[in-house]
Amino acid sequence: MCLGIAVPIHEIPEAMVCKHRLADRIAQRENGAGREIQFMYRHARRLLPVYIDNQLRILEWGNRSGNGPLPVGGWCHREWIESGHWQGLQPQQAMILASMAVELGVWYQVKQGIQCVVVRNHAYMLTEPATHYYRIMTRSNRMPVLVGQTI
Amino acid sequence: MPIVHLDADCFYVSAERVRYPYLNNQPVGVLSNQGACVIAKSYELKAKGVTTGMPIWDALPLCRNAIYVKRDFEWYEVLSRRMLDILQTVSPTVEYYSIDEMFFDAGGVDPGKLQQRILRDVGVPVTIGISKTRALAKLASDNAKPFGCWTATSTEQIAELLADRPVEEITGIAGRSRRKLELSGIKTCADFAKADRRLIRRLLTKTGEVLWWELNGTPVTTISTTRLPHKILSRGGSVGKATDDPARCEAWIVRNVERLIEALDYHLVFCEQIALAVEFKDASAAGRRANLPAATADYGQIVSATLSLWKQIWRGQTLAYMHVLAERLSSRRCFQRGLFDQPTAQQQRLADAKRQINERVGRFALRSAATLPLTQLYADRANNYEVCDIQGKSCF
Repeated sequence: MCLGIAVPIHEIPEAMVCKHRLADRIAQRENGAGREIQFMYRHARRLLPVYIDNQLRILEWGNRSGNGPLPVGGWCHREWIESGHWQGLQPQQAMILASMAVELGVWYQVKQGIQCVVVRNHAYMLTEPATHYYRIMTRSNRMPVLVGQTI
Repeated sequence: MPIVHLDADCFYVSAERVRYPYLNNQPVGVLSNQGACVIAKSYELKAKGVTTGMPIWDALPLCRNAIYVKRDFEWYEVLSRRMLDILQTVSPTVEYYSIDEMFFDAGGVDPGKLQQRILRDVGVPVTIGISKTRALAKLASDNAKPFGCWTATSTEQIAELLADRPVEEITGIAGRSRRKLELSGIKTCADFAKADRRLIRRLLTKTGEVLWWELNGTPVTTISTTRLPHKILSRGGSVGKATDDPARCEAWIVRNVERLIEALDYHLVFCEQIALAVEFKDASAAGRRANLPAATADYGQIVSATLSLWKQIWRGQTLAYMHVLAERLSSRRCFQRGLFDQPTAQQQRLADAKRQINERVGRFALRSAATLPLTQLYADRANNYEVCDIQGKSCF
Protein backbone atom coordinates (compact mmCIF):
# COMPACT_ATOMS: atom_id res chain seq x y z
CA MET A 1 0.00 0.00 0.00
CA CYS A 2 1.09 3.53 -0.69
CA LEU A 3 1.76 4.84 2.80
CA GLY A 4 2.39 8.49 2.12
CA ILE A 5 2.48 11.35 -0.33
CA ALA A 6 4.26 14.68 -0.51
CA VAL A 7 3.64 18.00 -2.21
CA PRO A 8 5.92 21.01 -2.62
CA ILE A 9 5.11 23.49 0.13
CA HIS A 10 4.01 26.22 -2.28
CA GLU A 11 1.15 24.08 -3.52
CA ILE A 12 -0.67 24.26 -0.18
CA PRO A 13 -1.91 27.74 0.76
CA GLU A 14 -0.27 29.10 3.89
CA ALA A 15 -3.63 29.63 5.56
CA MET A 16 -4.37 25.95 5.11
CA VAL A 17 -0.99 25.00 6.59
CA CYS A 18 -1.83 27.06 9.69
CA LYS A 19 -5.45 25.95 9.96
CA HIS A 20 -4.61 22.25 9.79
CA ARG A 21 -1.35 22.58 11.75
CA LEU A 22 0.71 21.11 8.93
CA ALA A 23 3.97 22.82 9.89
CA ASP A 24 5.30 19.74 11.66
CA ARG A 25 4.97 17.79 8.39
CA ILE A 26 7.31 20.05 6.47
CA ALA A 27 10.39 18.21 5.28
CA GLN A 28 13.45 18.90 3.15
CA ARG A 29 15.24 15.98 1.49
CA GLU A 30 18.49 17.76 0.80
CA ASN A 31 20.11 21.10 1.63
CA GLY A 32 19.14 23.54 -1.08
CA ALA A 33 16.18 21.46 -2.23
CA GLY A 34 12.63 22.77 -2.02
CA ARG A 35 10.59 22.08 1.08
CA GLU A 36 7.59 19.80 0.93
CA ILE A 37 4.68 18.78 3.10
CA GLN A 38 4.42 15.09 3.75
CA PHE A 39 1.15 13.29 4.49
CA MET A 40 1.97 9.89 5.93
CA TYR A 41 -0.42 7.19 7.05
CA ARG A 42 1.74 6.71 10.13
CA HIS A 43 1.11 10.29 11.28
CA ALA A 44 -1.04 10.63 14.39
CA ARG A 45 -3.44 12.79 12.39
CA ARG A 46 -3.89 11.02 9.10
CA LEU A 47 -4.65 13.68 6.54
CA LEU A 48 -4.64 14.07 2.77
CA PRO A 49 -4.84 17.15 0.53
CA VAL A 50 -7.77 16.49 -1.79
CA TYR A 51 -9.17 18.33 -4.78
CA ILE A 52 -12.91 17.98 -4.53
CA ASP A 53 -15.62 20.09 -6.14
CA ASN A 54 -12.90 22.27 -7.67
CA GLN A 55 -11.33 23.21 -4.38
CA LEU A 56 -8.45 21.99 -2.31
CA ARG A 57 -9.38 20.62 1.10
CA ILE A 58 -7.50 18.78 3.81
CA LEU A 59 -9.45 15.67 4.67
CA GLU A 60 -8.99 12.80 7.07
CA TRP A 61 -7.22 9.83 5.41
CA GLY A 62 -9.65 6.94 5.71
CA ASN A 63 -10.94 5.71 9.02
CA ARG A 64 -8.64 4.28 11.64
CA SER A 65 -11.06 3.88 14.54
CA GLY A 66 -13.46 1.34 13.16
CA ASN A 67 -16.31 3.21 14.77
CA GLY A 68 -19.30 4.28 12.76
CA PRO A 69 -20.39 3.20 9.31
CA LEU A 70 -17.15 4.11 7.48
CA PRO A 71 -14.89 1.34 6.19
CA VAL A 72 -11.73 0.81 8.24
CA GLY A 73 -8.39 1.66 6.59
CA GLY A 74 -7.17 4.26 4.17
CA TRP A 75 -7.53 2.59 0.79
CA CYS A 76 -10.27 1.41 -1.52
CA HIS A 77 -9.77 -1.09 -4.32
CA ARG A 78 -10.90 0.31 -7.64
CA GLU A 79 -12.62 -3.02 -8.25
CA TRP A 80 -14.85 -2.44 -5.20
CA ILE A 81 -16.11 0.81 -6.65
CA GLU A 82 -16.61 -0.72 -10.10
CA SER A 83 -18.55 -3.68 -8.70
CA GLY A 84 -20.78 -1.37 -6.64
CA HIS A 85 -19.62 -2.64 -3.23
CA TRP A 86 -19.34 0.91 -1.91
CA GLN A 87 -22.51 2.17 -3.53
CA GLY A 88 -24.33 2.42 -0.21
CA LEU A 89 -21.64 4.77 1.09
CA GLN A 90 -22.23 7.21 -1.79
CA PRO A 91 -18.54 7.73 -2.50
CA GLN A 92 -17.57 10.88 -4.37
CA GLN A 93 -14.69 10.78 -6.87
CA ALA A 94 -11.86 13.20 -6.10
CA MET A 95 -8.11 13.61 -6.58
CA ILE A 96 -5.34 13.60 -4.00
CA LEU A 97 -2.90 16.42 -4.70
CA ALA A 98 0.51 14.71 -4.80
CA SER A 99 3.88 15.22 -6.46
CA MET A 100 5.56 12.27 -4.80
CA ALA A 101 4.35 9.08 -3.19
CA VAL A 102 6.06 6.38 -1.17
CA GLU A 103 5.53 2.64 -1.35
CA LEU A 104 7.58 0.18 0.72
CA GLY A 105 10.27 2.82 1.19
CA VAL A 106 10.48 3.84 -2.47
CA TRP A 107 9.61 7.48 -3.17
CA TYR A 108 8.50 8.02 -6.73
CA GLN A 109 7.27 10.90 -8.82
CA VAL A 110 3.56 11.55 -9.24
CA LYS A 111 2.79 13.79 -12.19
CA GLN A 112 -0.76 15.01 -11.54
CA GLY A 113 -2.30 13.29 -8.58
CA ILE A 114 -3.91 10.13 -7.24
CA GLN A 115 -7.54 9.18 -7.55
CA CYS A 116 -9.52 8.81 -4.36
CA VAL A 117 -13.07 8.52 -3.16
CA VAL A 118 -14.48 10.70 -0.43
CA VAL A 119 -17.06 9.37 1.98
CA ARG A 120 -18.38 11.80 4.59
CA ASN A 121 -15.25 13.96 4.47
CA HIS A 122 -12.93 10.96 4.72
CA ALA A 123 -10.65 10.30 1.73
CA TYR A 124 -9.77 6.78 0.63
CA MET A 125 -6.91 6.34 -1.82
CA LEU A 126 -7.97 4.23 -4.81
CA THR A 127 -5.71 1.29 -5.64
CA GLU A 128 -5.48 -1.20 -8.49
CA PRO A 129 -3.29 -4.22 -9.30
CA ALA A 130 0.29 -3.03 -9.82
CA THR A 131 1.77 -2.92 -13.29
CA HIS A 132 4.87 -4.99 -13.95
CA TYR A 133 7.01 -1.83 -13.78
CA TYR A 134 5.53 -0.70 -10.49
CA ARG A 135 5.88 -4.21 -9.00
CA ILE A 136 9.57 -4.32 -9.93
CA MET A 137 10.18 -0.78 -8.67
CA THR A 138 8.43 -1.13 -5.31
CA ARG A 139 7.82 -4.87 -4.87
CA SER A 140 4.20 -4.09 -4.16
CA ASN A 141 1.30 -5.97 -5.75
CA ARG A 142 -1.04 -3.00 -5.69
CA MET A 143 -0.53 0.60 -6.69
CA PRO A 144 -2.43 3.86 -6.38
CA VAL A 145 -4.66 4.84 -9.31
CA LEU A 146 -2.58 7.65 -10.80
CA VAL A 147 -4.14 10.46 -12.77
CA GLY A 148 -2.82 10.81 -16.33
CA GLN A 149 0.21 8.67 -15.65
CA THR A 150 1.26 5.06 -16.14
CA ILE A 151 4.06 3.60 -14.11
CA MET B 1 40.43 24.05 -35.56
CA PRO B 2 39.79 22.88 -31.97
CA ILE B 3 37.05 20.34 -31.36
CA VAL B 4 34.37 20.89 -28.73
CA HIS B 5 32.69 18.09 -26.82
CA LEU B 6 29.43 19.10 -25.21
CA ASP B 7 27.97 16.78 -22.60
CA ALA B 8 24.68 17.43 -20.79
CA ASP B 9 25.01 17.02 -17.03
CA CYS B 10 23.00 14.06 -15.66
CA PHE B 11 20.86 14.55 -18.74
CA TYR B 12 17.79 12.43 -17.97
CA VAL B 13 17.51 13.97 -14.50
CA SER B 14 18.06 17.47 -15.88
CA ALA B 15 15.37 16.83 -18.49
CA GLU B 16 12.90 15.81 -15.77
CA ARG B 17 13.80 18.94 -13.83
CA VAL B 18 12.92 21.09 -16.82
CA ARG B 19 9.26 20.08 -16.58
CA TYR B 20 9.16 19.31 -12.83
CA PRO B 21 11.21 22.06 -11.16
CA TYR B 22 10.48 20.70 -7.68
CA LEU B 23 13.05 18.00 -8.50
CA ASN B 24 15.81 20.64 -8.52
CA ASN B 25 18.55 19.92 -5.96
CA GLN B 26 16.76 16.72 -4.89
CA PRO B 27 18.36 13.27 -4.97
CA VAL B 28 16.71 11.92 -8.13
CA GLY B 29 17.15 8.61 -9.90
CA VAL B 30 15.77 7.76 -13.34
CA LEU B 31 14.83 4.11 -13.67
CA SER B 32 15.37 1.69 -16.54
CA ASN B 33 12.84 0.14 -18.91
CA GLN B 34 11.78 -2.45 -16.37
CA GLY B 35 11.91 -0.23 -13.27
CA ALA B 36 14.75 -2.24 -11.74
CA CYS B 37 17.92 -0.24 -12.29
CA VAL B 38 19.06 3.35 -11.95
CA ILE B 39 20.05 4.54 -15.44
CA ALA B 40 20.74 8.15 -14.44
CA LYS B 41 21.20 9.90 -11.15
CA SER B 42 21.45 13.44 -9.92
CA TYR B 43 24.68 14.62 -8.35
CA GLU B 44 22.87 14.61 -5.00
CA LEU B 45 22.12 10.90 -5.42
CA LYS B 46 25.61 10.17 -6.75
CA ALA B 47 27.05 11.75 -3.59
CA LYS B 48 25.26 9.05 -1.57
CA GLY B 49 27.09 6.32 -3.46
CA VAL B 50 24.40 5.38 -5.97
CA THR B 51 25.89 4.42 -9.33
CA THR B 52 24.49 4.04 -12.82
CA GLY B 53 23.21 0.52 -13.38
CA MET B 54 22.66 -0.12 -9.67
CA PRO B 55 19.46 -2.05 -8.88
CA ILE B 56 16.95 0.08 -7.02
CA TRP B 57 16.95 -2.30 -4.04
CA ASP B 58 20.71 -1.70 -3.60
CA ALA B 59 20.27 2.06 -4.02
CA LEU B 60 17.49 2.36 -1.43
CA PRO B 61 19.61 1.81 1.70
CA LEU B 62 22.11 4.38 0.42
CA CYS B 63 19.52 7.13 0.13
CA ARG B 64 16.10 6.73 1.71
CA ASN B 65 14.96 10.13 0.48
CA ALA B 66 15.66 9.62 -3.21
CA ILE B 67 12.84 10.29 -5.66
CA TYR B 68 12.61 7.81 -8.51
CA VAL B 69 11.29 8.74 -11.93
CA LYS B 70 10.28 6.51 -14.82
CA ARG B 71 12.27 7.24 -17.97
CA ASP B 72 10.60 9.05 -20.86
CA PHE B 73 12.80 8.93 -23.94
CA GLU B 74 10.35 10.88 -26.07
CA TRP B 75 10.76 13.88 -23.78
CA TYR B 76 14.52 13.46 -23.54
CA GLU B 77 14.73 13.46 -27.33
CA VAL B 78 12.76 16.73 -27.53
CA LEU B 79 15.35 18.47 -25.32
CA SER B 80 18.25 16.72 -27.02
CA ARG B 81 17.15 18.05 -30.41
CA ARG B 82 16.69 21.54 -28.96
CA MET B 83 20.34 21.43 -27.86
CA LEU B 84 21.33 20.19 -31.32
CA ASP B 85 19.37 23.04 -32.95
CA ILE B 86 21.26 25.60 -30.85
CA LEU B 87 24.63 24.07 -31.70
CA GLN B 88 23.77 24.14 -35.39
CA THR B 89 23.32 27.91 -35.11
CA VAL B 90 26.86 28.36 -33.75
CA SER B 91 28.73 25.78 -35.86
CA PRO B 92 28.21 24.35 -39.34
CA THR B 93 29.91 21.11 -38.29
CA VAL B 94 27.99 19.36 -35.52
CA GLU B 95 27.95 15.64 -34.80
CA TYR B 96 24.92 14.28 -32.94
CA TYR B 97 26.96 11.68 -31.08
CA SER B 98 24.37 10.50 -28.57
CA ILE B 99 21.24 11.79 -26.90
CA ASP B 100 23.29 13.92 -24.51
CA GLU B 101 26.67 14.33 -26.22
CA MET B 102 27.64 16.32 -29.28
CA PHE B 103 30.91 17.21 -30.99
CA PHE B 104 31.43 20.32 -33.08
CA ASP B 105 34.11 22.56 -34.53
CA ALA B 106 34.86 25.30 -32.06
CA GLY B 107 35.15 28.22 -34.49
CA GLY B 108 34.73 31.37 -32.45
CA VAL B 109 32.35 29.86 -29.92
CA ASP B 110 32.40 31.36 -26.44
CA PRO B 111 31.84 28.27 -24.27
CA GLY B 112 30.52 30.22 -21.28
CA LYS B 113 27.93 32.04 -23.36
CA LEU B 114 26.93 28.79 -25.05
CA GLN B 115 26.42 27.09 -21.68
CA GLN B 116 24.26 29.98 -20.49
CA ARG B 117 22.26 29.98 -23.71
CA ILE B 118 21.51 26.26 -23.49
CA LEU B 119 20.60 26.59 -19.82
CA ARG B 120 18.28 29.52 -20.60
CA ASP B 121 16.66 28.14 -23.77
CA VAL B 122 16.61 24.41 -23.03
CA GLY B 123 16.89 24.35 -19.24
CA VAL B 124 19.69 21.78 -19.19
CA PRO B 125 23.17 22.40 -17.72
CA VAL B 126 26.00 21.24 -19.98
CA THR B 127 29.74 20.77 -19.62
CA ILE B 128 32.16 21.63 -22.38
CA GLY B 129 35.58 20.24 -23.24
CA ILE B 130 37.75 21.88 -25.91
CA SER B 131 40.87 20.36 -27.35
CA LYS B 132 42.70 19.32 -30.50
CA THR B 133 41.00 15.95 -30.90
CA ARG B 134 37.75 14.22 -30.00
CA ALA B 135 39.36 11.92 -27.42
CA LEU B 136 41.01 14.87 -25.67
CA ALA B 137 37.88 17.04 -25.82
CA LYS B 138 35.82 14.24 -24.30
CA LEU B 139 38.40 13.62 -21.59
CA ALA B 140 38.37 17.35 -20.83
CA SER B 141 34.58 17.56 -20.51
CA ASP B 142 34.40 14.37 -18.44
CA ASN B 143 36.73 16.01 -15.95
CA ALA B 144 35.03 19.40 -15.88
CA LYS B 145 31.59 18.17 -14.76
CA PRO B 146 29.20 19.51 -13.67
CA PHE B 147 28.54 22.73 -15.60
CA GLY B 148 32.24 23.30 -16.22
CA CYS B 149 34.47 24.02 -19.15
CA TRP B 150 38.02 22.72 -19.70
CA THR B 151 40.15 24.00 -22.53
CA ALA B 152 43.24 21.96 -23.34
CA THR B 153 44.66 23.15 -26.63
CA SER B 154 48.28 24.00 -25.83
CA THR B 155 50.93 21.36 -25.15
CA GLU B 156 51.08 22.37 -21.48
CA GLN B 157 47.29 22.27 -21.08
CA ILE B 158 47.13 18.81 -22.68
CA ALA B 159 49.93 17.56 -20.43
CA GLU B 160 47.98 18.84 -17.42
CA LEU B 161 44.82 17.10 -18.64
CA LEU B 162 46.57 13.75 -19.04
CA ALA B 163 48.77 13.80 -15.95
CA ASP B 164 47.91 11.28 -13.23
CA ARG B 165 44.50 10.58 -14.74
CA PRO B 166 43.72 6.82 -14.70
CA VAL B 167 43.94 5.31 -18.17
CA GLU B 168 40.41 3.88 -17.95
CA GLU B 169 39.08 7.45 -18.11
CA ILE B 170 39.80 7.34 -21.84
CA THR B 171 36.56 6.37 -23.56
CA GLY B 172 37.10 2.96 -25.09
CA ILE B 173 39.48 1.64 -22.45
CA ALA B 174 37.98 -0.52 -19.76
CA GLY B 175 38.26 -3.93 -18.16
CA ARG B 176 40.47 -6.16 -20.28
CA SER B 177 42.19 -3.31 -22.12
CA ARG B 178 43.05 -1.64 -18.84
CA ARG B 179 44.51 -4.86 -17.45
CA LYS B 180 46.62 -5.38 -20.58
CA LEU B 181 47.98 -1.85 -20.34
CA GLU B 182 48.68 -2.20 -16.63
CA LEU B 183 50.83 -5.27 -17.28
CA SER B 184 52.99 -3.04 -19.48
CA GLY B 185 53.20 -0.38 -16.78
CA ILE B 186 50.69 1.97 -18.42
CA LYS B 187 48.46 3.28 -15.67
CA THR B 188 47.70 6.90 -16.51
CA CYS B 189 46.56 8.77 -19.58
CA ALA B 190 49.99 10.40 -19.67
CA ASP B 191 51.65 6.94 -19.62
CA PHE B 192 49.41 5.95 -22.53
CA ALA B 193 50.30 9.03 -24.58
CA LYS B 194 54.03 8.59 -23.91
CA ALA B 195 54.06 4.85 -24.63
CA ASP B 196 55.50 3.44 -27.84
CA ARG B 197 52.82 3.57 -30.52
CA ARG B 198 53.72 0.07 -31.75
CA LEU B 199 53.28 -1.33 -28.25
CA ILE B 200 49.80 0.22 -28.01
CA ARG B 201 48.89 -1.21 -31.41
CA ARG B 202 50.10 -4.66 -30.33
CA LEU B 203 48.14 -4.50 -27.09
CA LEU B 204 44.93 -2.81 -28.26
CA THR B 205 44.98 -3.21 -32.05
CA LYS B 206 44.06 -0.40 -34.42
CA THR B 207 41.41 0.99 -32.04
CA GLY B 208 44.08 1.58 -29.41
CA GLU B 209 46.40 3.18 -31.92
CA VAL B 210 43.69 5.65 -32.93
CA LEU B 211 43.34 6.65 -29.28
CA TRP B 212 47.12 7.00 -29.01
CA TRP B 213 47.23 9.44 -31.93
CA GLU B 214 44.30 11.37 -30.58
CA LEU B 215 45.79 11.65 -27.10
CA ASN B 216 48.95 12.96 -28.68
CA GLY B 217 46.96 15.72 -30.35
CA THR B 218 46.61 14.31 -33.88
CA PRO B 219 42.96 14.10 -34.92
CA VAL B 220 42.12 10.76 -36.49
CA THR B 221 38.37 10.58 -36.06
CA THR B 222 36.74 13.54 -37.72
CA ILE B 223 33.42 15.13 -36.88
CA SER B 224 30.69 13.50 -38.88
CA THR B 225 27.62 15.66 -39.50
CA THR B 226 25.65 12.73 -40.87
CA ARG B 227 25.52 9.28 -39.48
CA LEU B 228 27.52 6.70 -41.40
CA PRO B 229 25.37 3.88 -42.77
CA HIS B 230 24.71 1.12 -40.24
CA LYS B 231 26.53 -2.15 -40.76
CA ILE B 232 24.20 -3.92 -38.35
CA LEU B 233 20.84 -3.03 -36.89
CA SER B 234 19.66 -4.65 -33.71
CA ARG B 235 16.75 -4.51 -31.32
CA GLY B 236 16.42 -6.18 -27.95
CA GLY B 237 17.44 -5.92 -24.34
CA SER B 238 16.10 -7.27 -21.09
CA VAL B 239 12.90 -9.30 -21.19
CA GLY B 240 11.86 -7.95 -17.82
CA LYS B 241 11.16 -10.81 -15.46
CA ALA B 242 13.23 -13.72 -16.73
CA THR B 243 10.97 -16.37 -18.20
CA ASP B 244 10.92 -19.98 -19.38
CA ASP B 245 7.36 -19.71 -20.68
CA PRO B 246 7.65 -20.64 -24.39
CA ALA B 247 4.83 -18.31 -25.46
CA ARG B 248 6.35 -15.38 -23.58
CA CYS B 249 9.83 -16.05 -24.98
CA GLU B 250 8.43 -16.15 -28.51
CA ALA B 251 6.41 -13.00 -27.84
CA TRP B 252 9.63 -11.15 -26.99
CA ILE B 253 11.29 -12.42 -30.16
CA VAL B 254 8.34 -11.30 -32.28
CA ARG B 255 8.25 -7.89 -30.54
CA ASN B 256 11.94 -7.36 -31.27
CA VAL B 257 11.56 -8.52 -34.86
CA GLU B 258 8.73 -6.03 -35.40
CA ARG B 259 10.90 -3.27 -33.93
CA LEU B 260 13.81 -4.39 -36.11
CA ILE B 261 11.69 -4.24 -39.25
CA GLU B 262 10.68 -0.70 -38.35
CA ALA B 263 14.38 0.17 -38.18
CA LEU B 264 15.04 -1.51 -41.55
CA ASP B 265 12.19 0.50 -43.05
CA TYR B 266 13.45 3.74 -41.47
CA HIS B 267 16.96 3.28 -42.84
CA LEU B 268 15.65 1.99 -46.19
CA VAL B 269 17.77 -1.13 -46.04
CA PHE B 270 17.30 -4.85 -46.46
CA CYS B 271 19.21 -7.54 -44.59
CA GLU B 272 20.56 -10.78 -45.92
CA GLN B 273 21.37 -12.37 -42.58
CA ILE B 274 19.60 -12.55 -39.26
CA ALA B 275 21.18 -13.36 -35.91
CA LEU B 276 19.75 -14.08 -32.48
CA ALA B 277 21.83 -13.57 -29.34
CA VAL B 278 20.36 -14.58 -25.99
CA GLU B 279 21.43 -14.64 -22.38
CA PHE B 280 19.82 -16.86 -19.79
CA LYS B 281 19.19 -16.25 -16.11
CA ASP B 282 22.13 -18.50 -15.15
CA ALA B 283 24.41 -16.11 -17.14
CA SER B 284 24.99 -18.64 -19.91
CA ALA B 285 24.68 -17.23 -23.40
CA ALA B 286 24.03 -18.52 -26.88
CA GLY B 287 23.75 -17.21 -30.40
CA ARG B 288 22.94 -18.37 -33.90
CA ARG B 289 22.71 -16.72 -37.30
CA ALA B 290 21.01 -17.68 -40.53
CA ASN B 291 21.11 -16.51 -44.11
CA LEU B 292 17.86 -15.27 -45.55
CA PRO B 293 16.78 -16.43 -49.02
CA ALA B 294 17.36 -12.91 -50.34
CA ALA B 295 17.89 -9.34 -49.17
CA THR B 296 14.63 -8.58 -47.42
CA ALA B 297 12.72 -6.65 -44.78
CA ASP B 298 9.74 -8.95 -44.96
CA TYR B 299 8.19 -9.71 -41.59
CA GLY B 300 7.20 -13.27 -42.48
CA GLN B 301 10.67 -14.27 -43.63
CA ILE B 302 12.53 -12.60 -40.79
CA VAL B 303 10.25 -13.76 -38.00
CA SER B 304 10.23 -17.37 -39.17
CA ALA B 305 14.03 -17.36 -39.51
CA THR B 306 14.44 -15.87 -36.02
CA LEU B 307 11.99 -18.28 -34.40
CA SER B 308 13.79 -21.13 -36.11
CA LEU B 309 17.08 -19.91 -34.58
CA TRP B 310 15.37 -19.75 -31.19
CA LYS B 311 14.25 -23.37 -31.54
CA GLN B 312 17.85 -24.38 -32.25
CA ILE B 313 19.08 -22.56 -29.15
CA TRP B 314 16.42 -23.08 -26.52
CA ARG B 315 16.45 -26.13 -24.27
CA GLY B 316 14.06 -24.89 -21.61
CA GLN B 317 16.42 -22.34 -20.02
CA THR B 318 15.10 -19.15 -18.42
CA LEU B 319 15.47 -16.26 -20.84
CA ALA B 320 16.80 -12.95 -19.47
CA TYR B 321 18.15 -10.90 -22.41
CA MET B 322 18.00 -11.10 -26.16
CA HIS B 323 19.00 -9.22 -29.24
CA VAL B 324 17.78 -9.76 -32.79
CA LEU B 325 20.34 -8.49 -35.28
CA ALA B 326 19.91 -7.70 -38.95
CA GLU B 327 23.25 -8.21 -40.70
CA ARG B 328 24.69 -7.80 -44.20
CA LEU B 329 22.59 -4.73 -44.84
CA SER B 330 22.10 -3.32 -48.30
CA SER B 331 20.43 -0.20 -49.54
CA ARG B 332 16.99 -0.68 -51.05
CA ARG B 333 18.19 1.30 -54.03
CA CYS B 334 20.93 -1.19 -54.80
CA PHE B 335 20.71 -4.79 -53.62
CA GLN B 336 21.10 -8.34 -54.83
CA ARG B 337 17.74 -9.81 -55.75
CA GLY B 338 17.04 -13.47 -54.97
CA LEU B 339 15.46 -15.93 -57.33
CA PHE B 340 13.15 -17.42 -54.75
CA ASP B 341 11.05 -16.52 -51.75
CA GLN B 342 10.52 -12.87 -52.52
CA PRO B 343 7.52 -11.46 -50.67
CA THR B 344 4.43 -11.64 -52.81
CA ALA B 345 2.50 -8.54 -53.79
CA GLN B 346 -0.11 -9.54 -51.22
CA GLN B 347 2.50 -9.77 -48.42
CA GLN B 348 3.86 -6.40 -49.45
CA ARG B 349 0.41 -4.83 -49.35
CA LEU B 350 -0.15 -6.35 -45.92
CA ALA B 351 3.14 -4.88 -44.62
CA ASP B 352 2.25 -1.47 -46.08
CA ALA B 353 -1.21 -1.56 -44.52
CA LYS B 354 0.26 -2.48 -41.13
CA ARG B 355 2.74 0.38 -41.32
CA GLN B 356 0.09 2.88 -42.37
CA ILE B 357 -2.32 1.82 -39.62
CA ASN B 358 0.39 2.12 -36.97
CA GLU B 359 1.44 5.51 -38.29
CA ARG B 360 -2.13 6.72 -38.02
CA VAL B 361 -3.37 4.99 -34.86
CA GLY B 362 -0.18 4.60 -32.85
CA ARG B 363 2.96 2.55 -32.79
CA PHE B 364 2.27 -1.19 -32.33
CA ALA B 365 -1.50 -0.61 -32.43
CA LEU B 366 -1.53 -3.38 -35.05
CA ARG B 367 0.95 -6.09 -34.24
CA SER B 368 1.41 -9.83 -34.34
CA ALA B 369 -0.94 -11.85 -32.15
CA ALA B 370 2.14 -13.74 -30.95
CA THR B 371 2.84 -10.71 -28.73
CA LEU B 372 -0.37 -11.26 -26.71
CA PRO B 373 1.54 -12.52 -23.63
CA LEU B 374 3.06 -9.01 -23.47
CA THR B 375 -0.25 -7.13 -23.51
CA GLN B 376 0.56 -5.25 -20.30
CA LEU B 377 3.90 -4.16 -21.71
CA TYR B 378 2.22 -2.69 -24.77
CA ALA B 379 -0.47 -1.03 -22.65
CA ASP B 380 2.24 1.17 -21.14
CA ARG B 381 2.96 3.75 -23.84
CA ALA B 382 6.39 4.46 -22.38
CA ASN B 383 7.57 1.05 -23.58
CA ASN B 384 6.89 2.02 -27.18
CA TYR B 385 9.84 4.37 -27.38
CA GLU B 386 13.35 3.39 -26.38
CA VAL B 387 16.65 5.19 -26.62
CA CYS B 388 17.52 3.17 -29.73
CA ASP B 389 14.45 4.65 -31.44
CA ILE B 390 16.11 8.06 -31.43
CA GLN B 391 17.49 8.27 -34.93
CA GLY B 392 20.57 10.00 -36.30
CA LYS B 393 22.95 9.49 -33.38
CA SER B 394 26.40 8.40 -34.44
CA CYS B 395 27.13 6.53 -31.21
CA PHE B 396 24.78 3.59 -31.83
